Amino acid sequence: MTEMTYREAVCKALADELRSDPDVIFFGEDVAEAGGVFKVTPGLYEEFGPDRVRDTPISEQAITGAALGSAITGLRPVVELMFADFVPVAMDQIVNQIAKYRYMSGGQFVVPLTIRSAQGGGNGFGTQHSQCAESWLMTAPGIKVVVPGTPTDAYGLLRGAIRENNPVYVLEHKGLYNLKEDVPDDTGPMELGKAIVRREGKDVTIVATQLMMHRSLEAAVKLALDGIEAEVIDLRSMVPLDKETILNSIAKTNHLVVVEESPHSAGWGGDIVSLAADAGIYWLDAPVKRVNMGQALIAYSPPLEDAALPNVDRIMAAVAEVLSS
Amino acid sequence: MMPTDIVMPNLGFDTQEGKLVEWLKQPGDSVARGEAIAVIESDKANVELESVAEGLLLEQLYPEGTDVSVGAVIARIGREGDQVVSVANASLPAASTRPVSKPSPPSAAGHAAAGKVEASPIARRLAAEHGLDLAAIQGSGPKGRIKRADVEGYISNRQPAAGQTGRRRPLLALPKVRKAAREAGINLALVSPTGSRGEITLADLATLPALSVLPRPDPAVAPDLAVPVGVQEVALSRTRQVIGRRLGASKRDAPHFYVTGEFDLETALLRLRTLPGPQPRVNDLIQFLTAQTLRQVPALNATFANDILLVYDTVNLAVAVAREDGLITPVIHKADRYSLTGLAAESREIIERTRINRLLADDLSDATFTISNLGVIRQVDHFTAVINPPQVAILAVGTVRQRPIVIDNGLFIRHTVHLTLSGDHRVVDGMHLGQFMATFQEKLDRFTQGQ
Amino acid sequence: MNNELATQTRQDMLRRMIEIRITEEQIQELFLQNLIRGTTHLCIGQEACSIGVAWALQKGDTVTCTYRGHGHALALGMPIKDMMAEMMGKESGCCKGKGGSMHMTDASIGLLGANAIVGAQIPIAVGAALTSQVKKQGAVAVSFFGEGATNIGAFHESLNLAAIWKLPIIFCCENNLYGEYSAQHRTTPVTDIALRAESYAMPGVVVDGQDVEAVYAAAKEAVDRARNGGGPTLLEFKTYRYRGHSRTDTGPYRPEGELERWLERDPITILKDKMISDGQLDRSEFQEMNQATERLVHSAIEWAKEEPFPPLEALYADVYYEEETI
Repeated sequence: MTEMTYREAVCKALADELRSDPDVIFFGEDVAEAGGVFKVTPGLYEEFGPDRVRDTPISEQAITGAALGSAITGLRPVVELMFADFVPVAMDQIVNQIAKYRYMSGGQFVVPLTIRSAQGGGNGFGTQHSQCAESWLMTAPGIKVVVPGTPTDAYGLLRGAIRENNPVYVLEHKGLYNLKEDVPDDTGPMELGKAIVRREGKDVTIVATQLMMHRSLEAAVKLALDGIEAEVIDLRSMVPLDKETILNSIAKTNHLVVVEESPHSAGWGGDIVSLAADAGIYWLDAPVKRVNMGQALIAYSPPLEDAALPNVDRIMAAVAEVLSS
Repeated sequence: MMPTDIVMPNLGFDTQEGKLVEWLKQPGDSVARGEAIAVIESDKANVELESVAEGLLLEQLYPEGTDVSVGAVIARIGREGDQVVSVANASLPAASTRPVSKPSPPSAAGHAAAGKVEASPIARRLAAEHGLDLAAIQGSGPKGRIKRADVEGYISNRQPAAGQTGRRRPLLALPKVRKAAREAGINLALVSPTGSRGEITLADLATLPALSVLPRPDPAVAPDLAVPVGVQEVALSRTRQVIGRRLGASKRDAPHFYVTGEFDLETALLRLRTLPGPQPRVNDLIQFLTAQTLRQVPALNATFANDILLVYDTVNLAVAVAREDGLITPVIHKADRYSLTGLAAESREIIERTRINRLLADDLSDATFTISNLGVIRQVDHFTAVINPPQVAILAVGTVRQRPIVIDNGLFIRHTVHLTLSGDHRVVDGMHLGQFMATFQEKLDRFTQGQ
Repeated sequence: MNNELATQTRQDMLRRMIEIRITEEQIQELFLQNLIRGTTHLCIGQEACSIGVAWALQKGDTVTCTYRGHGHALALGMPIKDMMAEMMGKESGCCKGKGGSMHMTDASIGLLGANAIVGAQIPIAVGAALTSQVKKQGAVAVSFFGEGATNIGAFHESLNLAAIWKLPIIFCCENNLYGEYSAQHRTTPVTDIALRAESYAMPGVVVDGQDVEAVYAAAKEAVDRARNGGGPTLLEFKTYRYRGHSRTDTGPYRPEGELERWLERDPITILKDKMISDGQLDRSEFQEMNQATERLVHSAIEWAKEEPFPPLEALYADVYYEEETI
């Protein structure tokens, strides 16, 4: 076991990959000499040199396009888009090119690339630097999307993403970079597509990721004082989605609450509800609730930002509502 | 001494009438004061009507099952020889037999009346699986919505309480009630008694779901259902009930006729083994050939309902899969568009999903033709299948085995299969069935020759 | 340019240009017969650009191009059959029928793909050049694009990044004077695209795109520079497309006489005339070349017509790479 923070876990994953596979390269804005704006990647430039760890100009399309071009010609590139809010700047390369390249070519190419970005709010970065990008990315078959919520998962899923012979977008949560955990020393690349039950319970299933997952666990502790045992599922992976774990939980608890850190409309929570309403319908004892930002944007002012994101009280209220209907 | 009138009592605040459920005394029986002579039912409960006089029951003015206005005379108690005035109360005529103001027992799975009943999806499913009428269950959710716990509570209240080691609670029921239960095929052990002494009344029997749901045993041979020793009543799952009704109707409405053919598969089996990848099996081959054949015999790729015959140009092939709760027929849509290996993969996938009960509504809809295959059982040489309405035909596949076969005056031993095609003679002729057989052979030959 | 290529080389180039020309003309026909659906973009008149550059490349070099990519694919050596089958959506097409006209791709000849999004192919070629640099392969990457693409963000980001990292890449602009229906002078403040190279501190060269030997010479110089670590070059081929932007475009935006002037500078004619005057070809050989090519193209089309469509399950294949399918 080694205690490390989420950001240290990310750095270690990159270092371990760069060390073990000469085809792995890493580039992005300020990732090399400066070690990243969130200080996530210090030391990599020094250890692996300017050929394999590179700083780029502010050129999201060139960054992502070059990731694709190098991935289909024999490298295993990892690139960083500094904030997940910049996904739209590179949307053509991500959605039209990277996601579709293998398919359009009739399977001629393997595209083993990884993109990573910091996402999420709660730190006063304002609405253009605080968004979560899952829903934008999930609309493109051909890309996998993972959302680690703990240091262990940040390490395992990033390594798993780099090992994966498909394009994977790793969305790290900037609010969790300082989170500390004992990471088992034998943690290796993790398989994508597996959710995990963080807390078992029999009364209600709460599905969440990253920051919202931690808040759901807090809520579960408080709910237990009221005699309500909540089962909290950390999805960890949006594409592929672990439907089995979700459905098994619904079959046990018959109640579902989905907590998302994003707007309601076309948010990924809808996919979970759709799964419940389809394959899981005959196990539901009450309507399903989503807790999310609704129509709100993330304002800068601290009390407004706090109000925009789902908090423990809102999660508990949703659980209460579901259990009483 | 004048005979004493016994009137329909007022049973509640605003009850206008009560139902005369059962006579406990017949004309000529002696009646003691305070003794019950009839069972009356109001909106809420059953009560015994006690005689206020002593004597003989002279007459019953209303038959059992009649709704009688409150205050009307329903019986007379007197002495032997008293005049019987069998004139109904002029001023208080018998209430017409109105339908009782409780919801009529809905048919299985709770339609009409249950449509007004709110219940969660799992509650609905549990109720349907146990053949329960949702209207009979008290809901504890908001607006009286029925929740899972309510259904489970209802079920467990009807069963003997857990913990009683083997001892069943005594079932109290008058002989008339037992007889009615027998005739209706009701298991008294499932009925909640509301009689004042804890007995099951006739009215209690009526609270169970549609009696058509439960099997109706022949009264002459039915054992006393209240004491089932060595006999197990098997509740039909909703799936089986639906299957039963549909196939029953199919056999009744569609004049089935059949054609059987034998097909030599020896060379085809060899060819299958030469195919690359996950090899299709002989069942996949038969499905594939059937789909291709149906394209050329569209008369069999059709549906007939409400006198309308619809013929389809794509084949949605239903394959029968045996499951514990009955025969399920998931559908492979556009089956004729697939290659053999593609169809084999598709077929494998949907059968797997059927087994683990992960089918979607789409998987069960729009079939144009069904194949039923009992070939896995070696003793099934051939069989005839019942057409799945509204389809107009079905193919039954027997077992593939070595059989003696004459080819060009020579006797050979080859792997053959018997296919039996059922057709609905309202819209299908022998020629169509024959054409299917001939075309199937043609397709089989082409496959064998590598085309 | 007074580099004269060997007779065999010229013959091969001429033959291949004729192939491109006849294939493109036939594709137009197939559209009219509804055997090809959707839209297509013909490069008739621009053949020399793709041939000249292709002949300067080696095995291991990579190319990305635009949706007007049939010429590039044939120039690099894609069999006509594969292209025709792909155009008709058949399983034996170069992309198993999954790509279509705008996505000609053949990894075995270094064609990383034609692209339907203007300019998107440029950063992808930058990535290929990056691989060569990191792995020290000595290979070069080439990206073809029209002058319209030089106005899109991805173009600028790509040139900038290639310059700063000194990547082994050649940016090839086929300036046919029209971005879709808009004339260059209405959308682009500079007349010579090659001028833009200066903003990115790389050489920019204007080339007569109708003279295949001139194209070859310019390409060879840029390829050598890249292979030797000298970094990127921007080549601008002045050329013209004889047909409209795409299938449905009849070209009403062309000024009078412009097409006729450019028809006089037909790249096939230019090379043919040179070869004839150099005694390397006579008219009957040229005729024979045309006829042989017509037969070749015709038989490719007939073959492709008989080929099967992909099976339905191909719809879900290759969305992801899955280990088990190997």
